[in-house]
Amino acid sequence: MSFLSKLVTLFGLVLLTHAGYSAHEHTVLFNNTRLALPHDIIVETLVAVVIVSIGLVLGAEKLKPISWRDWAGQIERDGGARNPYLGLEERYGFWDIRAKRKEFGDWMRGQDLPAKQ
Amino acid sequence: MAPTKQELSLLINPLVPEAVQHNNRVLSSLHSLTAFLLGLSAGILALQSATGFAFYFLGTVLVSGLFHLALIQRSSGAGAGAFFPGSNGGEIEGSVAIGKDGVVRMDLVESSKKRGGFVLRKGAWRDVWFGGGVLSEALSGFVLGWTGVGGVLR
Repeated sequence: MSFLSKLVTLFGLVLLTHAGYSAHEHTVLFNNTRLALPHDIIVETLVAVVIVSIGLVLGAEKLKPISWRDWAGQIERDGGARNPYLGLEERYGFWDIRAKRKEFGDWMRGQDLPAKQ
Repeated sequence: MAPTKQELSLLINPLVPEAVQHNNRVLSSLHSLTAFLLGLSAGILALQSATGFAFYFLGTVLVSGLFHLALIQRSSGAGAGAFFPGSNGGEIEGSVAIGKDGVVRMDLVESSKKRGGFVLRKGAWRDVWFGGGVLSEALSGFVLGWTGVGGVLR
């Protein structure tokens, strides 16, 4: 929720609370439920509803694209750990497996020699 | 039996279930919040019976309209089709068919090529306007707020 949407929602809620309190006072003072509400309370309530709705809609979380290709393109552009194919995209190059085996074998033999003697 | 257009659409343009769930959750939480708010204001306005429900439907239409506008604006004009699977279970707009060589090909409609290249789903606007529990959870939230405030104020 951005700061602007929070501010708008809060302002709308203040208006709504004020309208509610005014309606309460109206019923307490006149003690007659059949008497219609004054127009300013009605207008204030409606304006408050519109303002809070705008605030909540603006503050709603961002939607994610549902098609696989749009979604995958987006996370790939973002990069980072959210990408489920990260393990495939960042791999070691080809190893020279023979050279590595020889290196390992030399190392093993080098370790064994002093133990046998 | 030949595969339907919906099956072919899902075959070459699969949906991401997480994203669908996330979008539905966003929509239903928005609707339940605003429905409770509408209930509070219906209570303040002392609406009764049918008038109250009419108020709820008007308010829901307002919220859905605002949500749709924000959605179109944020996605550079792609609209609901890029974010909701629609009533046909993910069928895309445009044509998709098996050619003579047995290869599935799709041809997006012109309008979706212009709108940021998103694949659009058919009938997705229905998800925005009628989805999100408008007639179930949100409605009960509305009635809760309506009766609660109505009882306190009068």
